[in-house]
Amino acid sequence: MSEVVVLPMARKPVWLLFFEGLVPAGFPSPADDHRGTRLDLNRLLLPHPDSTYLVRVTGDSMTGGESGIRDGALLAVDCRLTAEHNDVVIAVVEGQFTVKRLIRRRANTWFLVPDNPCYPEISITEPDLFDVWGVVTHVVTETRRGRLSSHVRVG
Amino acid sequence: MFALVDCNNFYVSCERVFRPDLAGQPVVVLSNNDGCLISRSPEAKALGLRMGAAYFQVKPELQRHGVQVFSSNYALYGDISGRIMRYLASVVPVAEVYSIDECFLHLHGMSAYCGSLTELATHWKEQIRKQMHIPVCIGLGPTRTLAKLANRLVKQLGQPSGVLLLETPAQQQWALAQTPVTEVWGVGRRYSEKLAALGIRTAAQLAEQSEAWARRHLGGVTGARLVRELQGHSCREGGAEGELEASRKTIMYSRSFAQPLTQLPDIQVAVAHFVSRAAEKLRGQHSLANTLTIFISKGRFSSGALPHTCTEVLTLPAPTHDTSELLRYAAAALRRLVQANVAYKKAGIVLSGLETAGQQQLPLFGATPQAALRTTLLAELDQLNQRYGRGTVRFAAALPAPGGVAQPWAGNSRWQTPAYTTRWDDLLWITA
Repeated sequence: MSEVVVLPMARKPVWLLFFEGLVPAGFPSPADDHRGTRLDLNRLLLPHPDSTYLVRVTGDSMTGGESGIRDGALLAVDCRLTAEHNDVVIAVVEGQFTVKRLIRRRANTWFLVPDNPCYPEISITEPDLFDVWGVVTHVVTETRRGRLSSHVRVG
Repeated sequence: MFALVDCNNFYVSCERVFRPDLAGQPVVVLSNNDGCLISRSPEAKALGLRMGAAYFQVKPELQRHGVQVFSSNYALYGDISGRIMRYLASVVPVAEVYSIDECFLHLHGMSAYCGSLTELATHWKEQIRKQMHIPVCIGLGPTRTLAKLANRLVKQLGQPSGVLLLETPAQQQWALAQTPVTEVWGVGRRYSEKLAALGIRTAAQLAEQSEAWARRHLGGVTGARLVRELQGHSCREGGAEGELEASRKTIMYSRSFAQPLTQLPDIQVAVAHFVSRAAEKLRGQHSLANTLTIFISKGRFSSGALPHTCTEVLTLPAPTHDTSELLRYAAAALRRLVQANVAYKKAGIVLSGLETAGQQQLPLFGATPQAALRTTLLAELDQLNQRYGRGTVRFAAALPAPGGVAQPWAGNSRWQTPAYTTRWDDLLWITA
C-alpha cells in the first residue's frame, strides 16, 4: 500500500543572493597580492612615441653582425637621441637614406660601417652631404613568416 | 609673453621628412582633388608660383622648371602635426593649437625659471627640427597679435635663427613700422580698404590710434582689442585656455567630386557620407548641432543661369548628434536643391550652433526612452569604426547604389605619397 505525502510548496519565487566577484573554493590565490601589470611592448620599443618612427629594411648590408638587422626587418628609430659612436643609425648620404653603424676612428674621423663585411664602408668626408636622421633603438624580425612579412609594399 | 610657433611651408616640409632628396628642390603640394597649389617650397616661391594657382594653369611652368608635385596627404600631415603639438604642450604650461601648423604658447613667468626666452625658443626650434624634421619659425611678443607679427617678420627677413623676440617697446616699435597694416592678424580685406582710405598704411600707425578711434572705425570692441594688442596689452581670448584641442564651433565637411555628378542618388550618397563623417566628429567632441547647412556647387568654370552654389540652412527641431536624423534632413533638403540636368562639382555640409551634449534644454516632446538607446547605439558604432577602421559600419544611405558612382568624393590624388607614419603597408623602406 502506498502512502501519499503532500509536501508544502513555496508559491513565491525564492530569490538567491548573487555575489559579484569570484568566491574562491579552497585557498585564495597566494599570487593575489603580487599581481603585476601586463607587459606592454610599446613601453619598451617606443619610450618617446612622438619622436619615434617605424621603418622597414631592404637589403642585407647589416646582416650577420651584432645588430641582427635582416632583410625585411622592422626598425624603431628614435630621433630624440643624439647619435654616438657605435650606434646603428638611419643616415642621409647625398639625399638617400641608409642604415649603417656609425663609427668614430682615430683623429675624429667618422665612418658608416655595414655589419656585413661584404659591403664597403662609407667615409664621411663631406659633412654637408651627410646627416643622421635618427638612431635605431630596436629591431623586430620574425622567426616564422607572419604578419610582418604580409606588410610588404608592392610596386 | 606669448610665442607663435609656425611651421615653414608645412605640407612641403612633411613631404621632405621621408624624401631627403627633395631638400633644396622646388616642391609644391596640391589641394584635395589636385585642384590648386596649397603649399610651396621656398624654391617654388622663388620661381614665382602663386599660392592657390590652379594646377592646370601652371602645369607647363611646373614641368619646365622640374618642380616636384604632390597630392595632399593629410594622414601624414595630421600625424606630424600631432607630434609637434604634443611636444610643444610638453614644454609650456599652456599650448593653444591654432591650426594644423600653428600653435600659440603661453610663456608667463617662464623667463624667471628658464632664462632667456630667445634661447629657449631656439632650443624648441632645434628639437622640432631634430625629432620631427620640420623647420619652424617662432615669434615672441607680449600679445598674441605681436607674436604673430614677429613670426611673420622672421619669415620675411629670412633670419637663419628663425626666432624673433619683441621684448622692449623699441623692438616692438621697430617691428610695427616694418609691417604693412594689411598684414596684421585680424585685419581683413574690408578693413584694409577702409584703413587705406583713412591714410593708415603701417601697423605702427594703427597702434598710435586711440581705443575710441578703433571702436568707431574698426567694428567696435573687436577693433579696440586689435589696437590694444598692437600696443602690447593682451586682450585677445585664446581658443580654449589650457586645452590642447579646442572644440570646434562649427564642423564642415565638403569635397569636390572627381567627376561631375548629375544624378540625385549619386549626390545623395556623397552627402550622406559627409553627414556620417561630420556627425562622427560631432560625437567625438561631445557636441550637439542645432543647425545643418547643405550646399551643392556647379563647377567654377561652368556657365548657366542657375546660381553657382545652392544652399539650404535647416534649423533642427532639437539639437542632435544622431547620424540617422541628420541623414533624413539632408536627404529631404537635397531633393529640393538638386535640379535635373545640372552637373555638380562639389557638395558639402556644415554643422553649426554646437552645444555641449548633456547640457541641452530638454525638448517638450523629444525625450523618449529610445533616446538613451540611440546614444548607446551611436557610441557602439563609433567604437567599431575606431577599432576596425573608418567606414566599417555605415548607414545604408552612404552606400553607393548599384550602378552608381562609387565614392565620387574620393577625388583625384595622383601624386600622393604613402601614409608613412600611420599605415603598416606604407612604412618607409630603407636600403641597408
